[in-house]
Amino acid sequence: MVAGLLRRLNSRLKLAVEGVQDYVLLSARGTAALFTRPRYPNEILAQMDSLGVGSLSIVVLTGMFTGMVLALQSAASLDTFGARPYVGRLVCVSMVRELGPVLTALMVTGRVGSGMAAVLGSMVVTQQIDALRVLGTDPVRKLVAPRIAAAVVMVPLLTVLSDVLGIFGAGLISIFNLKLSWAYYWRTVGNALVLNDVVMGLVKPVAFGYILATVGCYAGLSTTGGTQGVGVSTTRSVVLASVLILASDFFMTKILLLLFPVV
Amino acid sequence: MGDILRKIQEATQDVGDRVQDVTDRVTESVAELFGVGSADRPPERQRALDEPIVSFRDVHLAFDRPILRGVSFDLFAGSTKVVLGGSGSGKTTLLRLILGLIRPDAGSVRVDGVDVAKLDEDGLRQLRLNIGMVFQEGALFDSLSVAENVGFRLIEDGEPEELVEARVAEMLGFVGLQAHADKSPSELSGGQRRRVAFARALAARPGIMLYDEPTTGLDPITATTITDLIVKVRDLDGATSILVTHQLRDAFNVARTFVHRQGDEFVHHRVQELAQLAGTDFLMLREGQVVFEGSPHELTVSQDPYIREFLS
Repeated sequence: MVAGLLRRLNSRLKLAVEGVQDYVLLSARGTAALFTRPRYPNEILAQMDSLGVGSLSIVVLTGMFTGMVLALQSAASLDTFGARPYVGRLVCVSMVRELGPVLTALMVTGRVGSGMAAVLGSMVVTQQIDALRVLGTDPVRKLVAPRIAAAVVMVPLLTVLSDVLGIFGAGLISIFNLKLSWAYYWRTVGNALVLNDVVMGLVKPVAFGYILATVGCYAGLSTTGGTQGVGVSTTRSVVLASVLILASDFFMTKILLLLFPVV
Repeated sequence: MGDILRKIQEATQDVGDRVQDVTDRVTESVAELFGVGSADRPPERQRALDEPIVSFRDVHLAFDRPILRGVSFDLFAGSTKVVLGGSGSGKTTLLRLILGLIRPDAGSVRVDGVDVAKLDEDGLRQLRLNIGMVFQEGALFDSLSVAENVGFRLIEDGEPEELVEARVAEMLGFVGLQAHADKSPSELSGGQRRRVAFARALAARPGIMLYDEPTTGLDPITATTITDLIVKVRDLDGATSILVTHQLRDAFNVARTFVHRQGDEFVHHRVQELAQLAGTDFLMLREGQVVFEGSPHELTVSQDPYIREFLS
């Protein structure tokens, strides 16, 4: 009984270590392929379109509503201290440093990371990946590298859009609900925003984009078990990428706060 | 002024060359580090003329259970090997080993004189340039049109557009699908998808053709059009072929049928007497072991109970 449990635990651990090893290797090969020939610029542009333009609507809505609800919630707390006028400052720093990057990455993971896993998983089970290799094309170079490049470029851009719309949405609430003046709100926002915030707000989405693309591709390419396996890979990619994004956010925040302290 | 401009131009050229040199060196180092080289070095061809083009020697392979157990056989240039066996007997695995998609646990697989297990990704890429593969369900790229699928390898190799178009038209003509060039693979029937897969595999004029159950799930008439294509590739292009199938009717069709060109016509001959057949050998696998290797006639007269049951 105990021996059986230990054997199963041992085999699970081995599989987990193998999984990590394969993921790191795939990420490294995908990254290295961006710097060696042949490259696929058309694939990169197609992925940028799919990932960036295709995610605009969800990022716009998420950013806007997050900013609005943040303004409402923080105003209620700030009122206790008579600090309602600082709502712009609080929303701006929260959006740029934390909520914009994390929420954008999570939304893009749900929409695009799962899509990457589904597309690549389908290609695995229908032998299209094997066909690519047989036809002399490296699937990592053709499929993984363009997705990494697109995510690393587009997630920061989407994050900036989300930040701007979040702050704008909070501005609308500040004027129509909290009775602050438009000019005053934007002055507090301008005063709050410093270079350190912008750096932190732009470094994180680059890492998040890398994580969601590599995890999506890894989950897709490691698909087994036919069409049912594609569903499993899709779910796995979203769960794994979301957890990794949140965990890496904590560690990156610790490091970035040391490098760029709040002034 | 002209001198100055010329010197600036020369200096710029020199700097450009140096930067390119450094970039290439860094690229090679990174590629070596991660195993994603872009070098175009050809594989070392070591096959003597009388050596087999494909050779398996005591090949063993296991995943969660043994797949191949001591498989050995040879395939000589221009001949055809039909691999028979039930589901899970290891037939498709043979093809994956030849292509270097998987590596054996023990034994050696030599293709064109090269030990496949010893090749890196670049070497395998070069080796695969001489191999065409028709997958079980076609494995066409859904996001590309029929014409783009057929010309995929040529496009990837950066061949001129005119050459690609001409070759695609020729190949689609060969499989009788000229009118379907702009269609998506999802608009094709199962038989048409297999024929496009044929055209794609043949586009780069490979010397070795591998067929993985190309007639599975097709009606007898469509299956015959597929076996006719296999025969045409064998007899007209002189390709060395391995056909993996469990459909006896199709296996014997390939062995019995011959084709030659008469003007613009393809003339098919059918040999009824199995003892007179040459050029096609059968190999039968059972649970990862070779239980028969020989001519179609020898297969039909075998007294092995498993073979008798398989043939019945």
